[in-house]
Amino acid sequence: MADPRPLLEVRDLSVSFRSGGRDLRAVEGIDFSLGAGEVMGLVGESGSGKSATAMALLRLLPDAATIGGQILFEGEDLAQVPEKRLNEIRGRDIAMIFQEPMSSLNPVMSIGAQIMEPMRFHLGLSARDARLRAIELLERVRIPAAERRLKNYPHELSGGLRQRVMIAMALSCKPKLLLADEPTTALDVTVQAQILDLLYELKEETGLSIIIITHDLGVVANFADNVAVMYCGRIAETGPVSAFFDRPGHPYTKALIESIPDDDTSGRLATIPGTVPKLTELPPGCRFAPRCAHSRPACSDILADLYQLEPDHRAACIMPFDYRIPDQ
Amino acid sequence: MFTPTVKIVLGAIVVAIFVLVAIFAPALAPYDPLKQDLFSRLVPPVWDARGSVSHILGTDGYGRDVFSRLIYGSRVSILVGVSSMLLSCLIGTLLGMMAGYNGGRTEQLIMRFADAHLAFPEILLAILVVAVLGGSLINIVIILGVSSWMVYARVVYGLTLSLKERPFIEAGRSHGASASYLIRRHIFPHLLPMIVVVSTLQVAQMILTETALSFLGLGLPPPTPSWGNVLAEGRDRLFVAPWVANSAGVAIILMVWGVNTLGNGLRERLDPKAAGRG
Repeated sequence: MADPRPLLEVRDLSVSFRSGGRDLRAVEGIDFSLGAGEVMGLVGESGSGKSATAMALLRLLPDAATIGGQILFEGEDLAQVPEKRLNEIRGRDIAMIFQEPMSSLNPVMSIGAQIMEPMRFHLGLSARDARLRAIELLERVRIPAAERRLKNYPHELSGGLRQRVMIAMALSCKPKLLLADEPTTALDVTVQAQILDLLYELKEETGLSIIIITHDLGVVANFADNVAVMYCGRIAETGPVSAFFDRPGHPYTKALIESIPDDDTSGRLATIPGTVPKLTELPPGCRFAPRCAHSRPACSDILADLYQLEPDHRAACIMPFDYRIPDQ
Repeated sequence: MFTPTVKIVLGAIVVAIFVLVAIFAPALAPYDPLKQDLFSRLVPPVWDARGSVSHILGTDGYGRDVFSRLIYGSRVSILVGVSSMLLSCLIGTLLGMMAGYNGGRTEQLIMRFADAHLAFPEILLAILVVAVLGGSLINIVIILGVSSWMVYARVVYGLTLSLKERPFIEAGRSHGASASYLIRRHIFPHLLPMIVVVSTLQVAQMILTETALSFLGLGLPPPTPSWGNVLAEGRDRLFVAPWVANSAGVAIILMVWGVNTLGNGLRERLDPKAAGRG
């Protein structure tokens, strides 16, 4: 069953936005690959470029953005294919769910009509078949009284139900890859857990690959196989979840893990001093250096590439913890 | 002054009366609007001491019954008003959606052209075209329609621009919807309320412009009973037979008031924030 070629392979992806006469690089030099049935967590603070990366994969960015590098999906470079081909892939092979389930649904259209849309674009189903399949999908995402729900409008549903509707839409054409852009951020904590459980079950049932974008390391720990941490548009560290949490190499990763609240309620929560620099004011050298507790003079000179720490585990730091970097 | 509901009801009643009159003109008009009767020229209206019941609103300089002419004139006004509104709505909405959705060069081209066109007085353009092509019904409709597409284009452009940024459009793109599908199914329905409001107000505007053109002798050729023509004929004898021009004026005022009141009521009802704005 193992296909030697990964489902998705991203090489040297960059995204820049044209703004006020100059180009701002929101994402640069991103490399990763994702196999069938794998779940990757893309983690970062606001403005780290994680959403821009996800949007770039389907070329959903505004016109002011330019994409560089390669996005190889089943060997086809999505960065190059014409818009028309992209419309065939979007929703059929790669689907996406968004942070705001309220505003991602058209308020003046019944959810039934909206769920049927992708199926009618891609599968050429008749209205009747699409309706039957929509009911099936709503049942699949555990929405009770599915048939009656088809006539509802988005405002009649709760946030959790709306996100389930979005998931049903995303899964309607049996995609191979699901991009989940902070799917639980806008939801209540209890609902968050339900949605994640649902995604996990669906993944197990269908063998779907998922890229989950989040700023919640807890989500990643429970859900993902691999993680990539982004900082200022670059990957700071990437690797399997176990290595990532047990043996972080990058000081940023370590600081993030330390700032997760644990059961020990005494003492102050560890934080990272400072804020993420703006794209217009990036420091020279390592972008994390000004906030890094372990920075040294050389950090301001060298913008480190990803070094291999272990097989599949890489970090972009000149002095990763507990690892020795072989001389290049 | 009035609540939106009162405005909608009042406006709708007035408009409905005019529409019914236009539809049943042959049954309602006591005389043939074109029939001249030189023996009963300039008969004053019924409330005048010299007036007669046979001509409620009197007769004009050719002995034609003013009441009958106004009844038939409502057909022209409504026909011209509605069809030129539809034409400008079609052009303006399409171009406005294209400009708003595509942005970039398309937007620049369409919207700068709209600005330039807006700077050019509508009536002047209409006079120019009628003078060259002549004033038939079709010509008038085309001229009025083409010369006010910018009103729609600008409203639709602005709304499309903000709708385009709504996440459900992005979500639609992520499902593989094409631009034309998104415009048709997801943007257009959101524009409809505003288009209805603008259209109603535009009908009134179109009726006024058509009247003005006819009054200037550039509208429909004279024997045709349009309100502008009746007004123009009345102008020549304003001091001898003021009832001709006055009746036409009152008909125009009532119709335009009715349509505008309906439009304003709809606007306030559909967009409460717009209430009180000019």
